[in-house]
Amino acid sequence: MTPRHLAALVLLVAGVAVLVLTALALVVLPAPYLRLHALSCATSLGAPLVVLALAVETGPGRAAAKLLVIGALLAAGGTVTTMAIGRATVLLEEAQPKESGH
Amino acid sequence: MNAWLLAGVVLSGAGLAPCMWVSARGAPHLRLVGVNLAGTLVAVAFLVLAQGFGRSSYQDLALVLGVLAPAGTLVFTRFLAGDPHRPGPSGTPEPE
Amino acid sequence: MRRAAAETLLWWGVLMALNTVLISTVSTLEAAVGAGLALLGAAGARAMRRAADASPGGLGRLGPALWAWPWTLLADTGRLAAVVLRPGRRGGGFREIELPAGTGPAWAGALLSATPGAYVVDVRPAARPDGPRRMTVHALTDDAGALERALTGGGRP
Repeated sequence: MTPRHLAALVLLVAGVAVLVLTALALVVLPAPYLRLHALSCATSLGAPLVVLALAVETGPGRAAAKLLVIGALLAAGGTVTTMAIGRATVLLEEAQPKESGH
Repeated sequence: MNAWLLAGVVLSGAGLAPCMWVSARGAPHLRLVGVNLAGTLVAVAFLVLAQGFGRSSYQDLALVLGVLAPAGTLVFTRFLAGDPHRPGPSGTPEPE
Repeated sequence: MRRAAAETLLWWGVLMALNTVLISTVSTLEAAVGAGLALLGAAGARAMRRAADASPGGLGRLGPALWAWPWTLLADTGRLAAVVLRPGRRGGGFREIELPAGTGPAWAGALLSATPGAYVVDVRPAARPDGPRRMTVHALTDDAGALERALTGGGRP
């Protein structure tokens, strides 16, 4: 096993672990505000770790650059949607003074 | 079976199951959280499976999903929360 | 006029770089088609930016914030894991932070929301132009992370 392959595997395991942690956090943490932190964790750390693992495995070149671009796109999109969902949740929760319990 | 395919299985199973649980219960704005995380997990799963199967063209699926999933989430938030120029939670109106 | 041309050229460069990375084979025909479409896209991007009245805001404290961001990302992931695994210790909640004058709320809020520790929910309009801005954030824990201290300069309003 070459060092590059080993490094890619380590990054992959770390990234998948972070992503599974975020999915678990979505269920365990109470709604509606606290669990939104899992969204930014998934797109800022989990997805870039996996993308980095893939880029290391692919080796230097245009294919790795394409993967890094996709990772950056996921990170940027996730940040924007976290803020949008957070704000929408605040606006909707404020508009309903009596909630059904979730 | 290699490590990438195994990672794809883990992401699709252990990752998507909580998202579907969250997407199935509650008010619409609470379900949107599960849909958003599911989009991220599926995009990463596409990338990993592209490597596992050895077909780099599958990465384009992740690229398209990375563009469309946030756009879809923003469409949902616009539908659910309404006018983005409403006053914010602090009470002051938004600047134009 | 020169600023318009410079901005359009910048957008064109970004789109051409994206095109070159994403296509499968790089040839003259692909480059020519890409250049033409990138020009259209650059014009549209500049028009969109002006229509949305978007600007990055001041760049004060960008250096300390960028330096603090990776460490805060890792530390906040640890905090998220601790909060998930220990149901008894959950603090956090909404709080107001104040960005000093010259720090654009757009990029500062985006950097802050990119960490699991906080996400921005509201930005108040500036009381005076070039004045400090207040943001409402929802935080994971009660203590401020390194990024938040770097952006606000340490104090709380």
